Amino acid sequence: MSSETKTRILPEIQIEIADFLYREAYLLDHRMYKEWLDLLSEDIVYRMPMRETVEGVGVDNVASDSAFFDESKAALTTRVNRYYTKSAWVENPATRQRHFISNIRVESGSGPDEYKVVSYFLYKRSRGSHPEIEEMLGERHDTIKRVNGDWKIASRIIIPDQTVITTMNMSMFL
Amino acid sequence: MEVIGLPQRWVAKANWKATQENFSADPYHVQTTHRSTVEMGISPEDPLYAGYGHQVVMQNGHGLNVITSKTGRSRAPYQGMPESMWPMFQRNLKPEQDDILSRTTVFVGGVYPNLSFVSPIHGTEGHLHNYLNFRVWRPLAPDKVEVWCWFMIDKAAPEEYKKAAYKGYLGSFGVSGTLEQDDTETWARIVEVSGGLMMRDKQLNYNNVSNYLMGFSHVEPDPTFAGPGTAYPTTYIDALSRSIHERWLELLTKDLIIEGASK
Repeated sequence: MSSETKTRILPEIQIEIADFLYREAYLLDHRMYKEWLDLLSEDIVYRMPMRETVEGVGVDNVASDSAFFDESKAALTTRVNRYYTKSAWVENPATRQRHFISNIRVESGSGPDEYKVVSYFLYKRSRGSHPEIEEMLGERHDTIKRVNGDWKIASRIIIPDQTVITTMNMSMFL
Repeated sequence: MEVIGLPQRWVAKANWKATQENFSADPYHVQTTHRSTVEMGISPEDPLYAGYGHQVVMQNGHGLNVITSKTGRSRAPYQGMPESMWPMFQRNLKPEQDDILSRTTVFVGGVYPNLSFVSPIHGTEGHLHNYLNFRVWRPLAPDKVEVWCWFMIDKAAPEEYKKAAYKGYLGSFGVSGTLEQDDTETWARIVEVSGGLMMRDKQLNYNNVSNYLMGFSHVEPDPTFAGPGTAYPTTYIDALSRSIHERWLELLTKDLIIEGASK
């Protein structure tokens, strides 16, 4: 039963990958964006397709031709560097934010040190003196691999549950 | 033009007149709202950089800004569209239209009341690409707008260019775009201060900071501009903003005056 052996993941690996994702969330929540970039492989694919409302049973509602993010490492680096300027007003004053990451499922990937990881996210933020809390939710489909002893995110597809975004802008990384 | 994908949709804290004004009539905000692009070396240091060119005021609150550069030429001819497409532009346009297209960096304007468009050049990977972005401001409340934001591109552009331009769009405009992120902050602050007593006590004239008097009475239209409308030789001017609000007032007060009511 090759498929059974393929999906049997050692508990240590599961713990290591979950810990890696929690560490990533900590860096993002604490606005350590340059340190966050170090967790991404140089050839990362970072996409967030749009979700659409489609009538029918069992139809695909993840758009293939429209996105909120479609970033290379260079593009993500430009976005990150902007947050270290004095005039990126969307993050100055700073957002107070939390990435709640849960329901982590690990499967083996295409290489010996590569894993397919699905996780759920609930993102919440509070800004300025406003009483409203903004939020976003969905799931992430990652390819995570070990490169020279360090875990790296090689690919991330973010699937939002909202078709109409309710955060007034998307200055966050998910 | 070809529409690619679905429109991005999101709910912003904004009044629809402020968003319409922002994207139709106000290149003046660029130097402060989008200052981060100057800090990063993407936009020029010259504070007038978004002011070169013409602001064109049409009838009924419609209009646009044709932004060139200090030299009167664009940094990228034909907005950085592939050189293979230039003969097509020259073939399809009148010589005076071709002249404007070839030396314009950004077109940004609006169709009253709630459709705006911007055709910039942008990219977050070091390469600049042109695209056309349409946006409809759907008012949900005085302080709430649902934005519908479409990506468009010249049908004749090579597929690779279209893909790169889409990435440039995501990096600049739309809910996740770096420029739009900062615009949304201004929209929200306008809504917030508008509720304040100090603002409520003001009138829309000389005793107000939002007096729409920039360029008023001393910037004369440029009679040499080849296109239609009234063209002012700078985009740092409130002519189009005034025209938008005049149109709004005209429509709002249309049936308020009843003949013979005072008798």
